Amino acid sequence: MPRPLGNTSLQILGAIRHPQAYGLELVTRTGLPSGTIYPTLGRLKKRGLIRARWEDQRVAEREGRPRRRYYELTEDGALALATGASRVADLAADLQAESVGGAG
Amino acid sequence: MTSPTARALVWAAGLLVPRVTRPEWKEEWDGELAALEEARAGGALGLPSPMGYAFGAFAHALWMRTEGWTVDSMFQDIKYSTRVLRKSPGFTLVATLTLALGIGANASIFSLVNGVMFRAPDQILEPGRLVQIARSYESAPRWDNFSWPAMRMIQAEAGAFSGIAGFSREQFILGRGTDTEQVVGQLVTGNYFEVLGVRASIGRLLQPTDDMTPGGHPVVVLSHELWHRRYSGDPSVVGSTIAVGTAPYEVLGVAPEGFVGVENLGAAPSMWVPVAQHPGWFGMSPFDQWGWSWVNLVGRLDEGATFQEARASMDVVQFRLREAYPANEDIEVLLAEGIGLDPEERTEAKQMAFILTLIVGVVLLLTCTNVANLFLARATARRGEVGVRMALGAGRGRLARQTLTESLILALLATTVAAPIVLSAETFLPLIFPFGLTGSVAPDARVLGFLVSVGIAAGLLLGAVPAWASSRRGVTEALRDAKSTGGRTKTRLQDFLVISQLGLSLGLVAGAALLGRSVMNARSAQPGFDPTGLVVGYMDLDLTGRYDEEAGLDLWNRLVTSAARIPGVQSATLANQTPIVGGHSRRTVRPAGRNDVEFEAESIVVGGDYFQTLGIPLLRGPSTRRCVR
Repeated sequence: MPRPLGNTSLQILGAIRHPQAYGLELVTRTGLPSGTIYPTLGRLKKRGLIRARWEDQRVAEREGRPRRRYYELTEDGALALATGASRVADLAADLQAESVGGAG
Repeated sequence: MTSPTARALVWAAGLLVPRVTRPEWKEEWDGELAALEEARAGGALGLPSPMGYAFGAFAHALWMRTEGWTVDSMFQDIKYSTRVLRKSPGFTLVATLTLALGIGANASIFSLVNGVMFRAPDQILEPGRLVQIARSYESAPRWDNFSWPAMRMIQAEAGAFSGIAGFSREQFILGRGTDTEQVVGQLVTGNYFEVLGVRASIGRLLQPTDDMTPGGHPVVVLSHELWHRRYSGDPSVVGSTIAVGTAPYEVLGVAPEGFVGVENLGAAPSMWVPVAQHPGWFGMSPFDQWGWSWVNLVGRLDEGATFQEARASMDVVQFRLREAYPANEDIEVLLAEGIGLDPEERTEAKQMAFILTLIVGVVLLLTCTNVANLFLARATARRGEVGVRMALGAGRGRLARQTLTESLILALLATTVAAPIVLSAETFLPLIFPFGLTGSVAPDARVLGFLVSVGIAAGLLLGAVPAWASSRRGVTEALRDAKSTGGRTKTRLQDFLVISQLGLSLGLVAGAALLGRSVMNARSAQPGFDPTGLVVGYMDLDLTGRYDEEAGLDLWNRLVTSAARIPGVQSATLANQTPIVGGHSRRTVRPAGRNDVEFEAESIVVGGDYFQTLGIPLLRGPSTRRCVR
C-alpha cells in the first residue's frame, strides 16, 4: 500500500488541479517556498501522481518569454488527492466533534 | 529583466544537477524567474523576491542530485572519506586551517553586518511595529529630528500610532569630586519606555507622570551596564539619590540588560532622564522654540494598523506643521519602518557591508581555490587507487560523489574550527572596527545558520572542480594515468587554479594598496584649515552646573589668555565645536531687516582669533577680531 500523502503534497496537488499550473503559480497559490515546491513536484512526478508538460513554444514566443513547464494531475494523482482530502476532512470532523463534546 | 544575481544563483545551482537533465532543468528555472519578474513588474502582491526564489533552485538541484542515493551508500562514502583524510593528517590539517580562515572571516563579517543592519536593538517589544519619524524639506532633503513644538503637534495629530516617544542624546556628569564621571545618556519623553515596550530590571522605568513640569522631575533610570559598573549591581541603589550635574536625582530603577535604546550605532546610553529636566540653551527653554530641532521620534503602530496607514496620516500632520511655522513651508514628515538604523545610515551601512562581504568573499574563494588545488595534487598521487576502483566497477558519478563527500567533511571540520572564532566575534570586532556599535554583534541563530551555509557552500565549491575532474575519465584512461606522470586535464586544471589564485591574490593586494593610498591621501588632504601644530582641549562647563553665563565667560577668557601666554603658543581660541570631528548645529537665520526670508544654516560659536588660530583665510572682512567679552 502506498504511503499516505503529507500535507505539503496534498496542498500542491490541490493547487495543481485547476487544471494545471507552473511552478510560480504553485508558489503563489500555496504560499510554500520554491525550495519546497520543486523537490515535492519531483517526488510526486516519480510516484506518477502528476505529469509535466512543456508549453507550446509558439505560445511562449508570441508572448515574448521563455516557455513554461506545466504540471497536471494524473488519474492516480486525482484519486490520491481525493483520498487525502477525505482523510483530512475526517480528521477535521473528529476534532470538531471532540471540541463540541468537550465544550458541552 | 531578470535579476542577474538570481540568474547567477540558478546557474550555480544548475552545476549540481545531473548533466542529462540539466538543460531541461535550466530552461524551467529560467522560465520561472522570467515569470516572477513579469509578475512583479505588473505590481502583483505576495510574490517572493527573485533572490529568495532562486535559492529554491539549490534545494531542487540538490534533490535531483541526491535522488536515488541510499543511506547505506552515503554512510559508506563518509566512512571511506574519513579514513582517507585520517591517513593524510598533514593535508587534512593544512586544508582545514586554510578553509577555517575563509569561513571564519565570512561568518565574522556577517555577524557584524547582522548586528548593524538586520538585528533590532535588544529588549524591545515587537520592534517590527516601531516606526522612525523624521523631518525633511522638499527643497533640502534630509533625515533629521524635530523641535519640541513640532513633536507635540505630531503626537497630537498623527493617526495609526498607539504612542509616539521622543529622545535626545545628552552628556551627563555623575557623582562629585574625584568620583566624577561623564556619561552619555538620553533625555526621553515620559512615554518612551511604554512605547518601546521595555520592562525594568529592578525598580521602575519612567512614566508620563515623571515628565510633566519643566525642571520638576529630578529622577533617573540607570542602564544595566552602569548599574553593574558603578554601583556593583547593588539593588539598594533604587530609591537612593545620586548626583547628576549639580542636582540630586532619585534613581527610579534599572533598565533591562542589553537595552541600549533604538539605535544600533553610536555610544550606548548609560542613563535616561525625563525631557522635562532639559537644561535649556543660553538661558532659554527648548520647549517653545520652533527653530531648534533636537528631538528624535519613534512611534508604535496601533494594533492592526499598517505602515501605509501611518504614512497616510502624516499628510495631515505635514499640512499642520507647514501652517504653524514660516520656515516649515516645505517641511516633509518622513517615516521609516523598524528601528536600529535610519535610512541614511542604512544606505551607508549597505555600502560598507557590500565592500566587506566582497573582500571576505574573495578570501573565501581564494582559500577554496587553494584547497581545491591541494585536492587535485593529491588526486594525482591517488591515480592508481582511482583506476583500480573504476576497474572494479565504481561509476564516475560515484567517484565524483566520493570526492564531494571528502570536501564536505573537510569543510565541516573547518566550520567547527571557525565556530569559536565566530562566537568570540563580539570581543574582537569592535577592536577591528572602532566605530560606535550600540547593537550587539554577538552571534545569533542567523549568524550560526550563515556559518553552516558558508561551510557547506565552501565544501561544494572546493569539491566541485576535483569531482568534475574525476568524473571525466573512463576506466582505461584512469588505469593508464595511474602509471604516467599525470593527466593533461588535471595539469591544465591545476594551472587554471594557480592562475585564479594569483589573480584573486593580486586583486586583494591591489585593493589593500589602494586603500592604504586613500588613507595616505586623506591624511595629507587639505581640510580647509592648517592642522599643523594645532592642539585641542575639551571642557564642558554646563555639565558642572557651577557657572552662570558671566562666571563661565570669565573663566573661558582667562583660560584663552593664559593659554596664549604659554611659551611656544602663537595664538589660542575657543569654539563650541571642533572642525571635522565636532559635529554641527543648525540655526534659523534671517537677513537683517527682512522678515519674509528665513533659512537654516550650519553654525558654530567661536571666540576671537578663531580664523587666525586655525589658519583659515577669510575672503572678506578683518582676519581677526576680538569678539569675546
